Amino acid sequence: MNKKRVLIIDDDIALTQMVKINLEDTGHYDVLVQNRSNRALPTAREYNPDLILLDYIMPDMDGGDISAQLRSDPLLQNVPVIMVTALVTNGEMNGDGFVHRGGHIMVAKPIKFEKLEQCIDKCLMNAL
Amino acid sequence: MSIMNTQASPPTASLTRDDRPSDGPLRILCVEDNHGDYRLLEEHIREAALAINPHLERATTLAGAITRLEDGKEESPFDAVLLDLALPDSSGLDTYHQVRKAAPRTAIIILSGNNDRELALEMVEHGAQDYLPKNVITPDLLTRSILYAVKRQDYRTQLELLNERLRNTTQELQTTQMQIIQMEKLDSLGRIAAGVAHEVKNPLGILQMGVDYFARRREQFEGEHTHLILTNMQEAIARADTIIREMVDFSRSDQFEMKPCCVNTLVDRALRMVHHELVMRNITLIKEFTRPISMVSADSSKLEQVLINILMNSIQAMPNGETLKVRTHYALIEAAQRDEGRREMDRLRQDDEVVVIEVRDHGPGIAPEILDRVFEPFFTTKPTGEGTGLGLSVAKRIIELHRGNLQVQNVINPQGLRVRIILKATDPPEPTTSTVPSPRHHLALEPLTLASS
Repeated sequence: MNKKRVLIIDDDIALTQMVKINLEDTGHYDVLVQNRSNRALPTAREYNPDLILLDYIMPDMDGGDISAQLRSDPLLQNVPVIMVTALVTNGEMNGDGFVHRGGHIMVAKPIKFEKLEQCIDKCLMNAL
Repeated sequence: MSIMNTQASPPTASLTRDDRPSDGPLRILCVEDNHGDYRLLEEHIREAALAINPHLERATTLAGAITRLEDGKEESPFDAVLLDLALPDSSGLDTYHQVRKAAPRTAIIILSGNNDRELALEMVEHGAQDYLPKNVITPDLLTRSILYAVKRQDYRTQLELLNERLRNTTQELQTTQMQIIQMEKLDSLGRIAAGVAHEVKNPLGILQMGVDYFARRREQFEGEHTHLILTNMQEAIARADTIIREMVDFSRSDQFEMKPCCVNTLVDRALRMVHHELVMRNITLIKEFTRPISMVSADSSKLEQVLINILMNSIQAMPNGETLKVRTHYALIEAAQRDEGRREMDRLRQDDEVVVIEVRDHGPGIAPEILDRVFEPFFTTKPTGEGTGLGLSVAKRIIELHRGNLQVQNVINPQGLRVRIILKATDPPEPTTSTVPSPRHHLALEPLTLASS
């Protein structure tokens, strides 16, 4: 079985390191981390991921902006994107633990790894 | 002093009697003990009658003058007092003050003799409208003096009124300014909360990933406590996350969003936010929730704000380990007193079914004389620097916007305060799978008299 390629775009070095470790630990994923949001696009084009985990609020470039750029890029527009956010209200949490905001799938930080895996699986299945 | 014509000449247009606010004659009190001097004055005034319509009275002593002035104070005050300085019972500057006190809105003209010019001047300094040396009085002079004096006193009175109004307006402005500052503070609080949330969530995320990693490998650890440790760590992360999320929720300054709410859930959330305070003061918490309970339509974060405010007030009233009771229950409005100023649509009426959140503390309660004022903005019994006094006024506003009612009452046995939030019940409670009918219909709805909040 081919490993799925996951690109994580998030400025927090330690957090992205931990997520990468857990994802690769399963044996199902190859993970690339990009901590510099202004390098997100070129990295994505070069790496050609199957899925992108995108932090919503970052110092240089807003996650919303990046997501828009991804969508308008012909090579990347069909890659599923999961937005990760620290700011979710109680009202927005659905039963399944995933938040749907403006058409995007969002997950709240902190998220249990098991839940993250489920979300990734779901997104990858929908993309096929 | 220029020598005036002995013939009475009409005074300037601006000083005619018609200009005066009150109709009728000019009421003059002449305080003069010397009969000859008085006769002269009387004659002068009679001659001046072409220009003014005088109603003249006389007093011969200071005491007599004061009595006369005070008698007429309310209904028919004098317009002017001609005050001789050499009265049998006069006593220097104090004479003036006594007359002024007896007639605050009356023009006072000092009649001075040869030797008391200085005293006369002093009295003018202190507020007398004019002084006239007796030996140079002519009808014209007297007329002019009286009319000018009365006018000046009028201006003075108007000035005082305007000052009062200015003071009030300044007060209002200051209050509004404080309110704006307060709102701005709340605004930045929201932003700070968001920043804090963000900063804390990442470390929590890191910890979570760590716990997950070790949990997957727990068989490899020899210690007997591995499972427990991992469980505790996991729960700790969840708790921290919950508090942060609730704080962000709470500090959001969004528009009012009314949604179906369960008050039990809401109260639980509010209690979690003040949990630390309860523990610190050793307060025993008794919860009496009615389950299931009807929903209400509310903006949950705003309502939570109100609840937290009420809970904190009660907590702060009980510094040493007393009991705090929080109840939720149904009630039926038995009677509603008219609440002036509330629109009909908004009011809770008799026979309405309502949901009540009740907070009952065992503190000292609120002194009856200030009970009316608790909803005033900025009114607070806390020492300066603690709290802004805005809490209950904002709370009241929020409940009003929910078309509910906020009641604050002292309780006697045992002593304490009871605060009730009363909201109209909307949807029936969540349907249960059991066949037993919902308790709502069996519970004796407590009759509730609705006093205006």
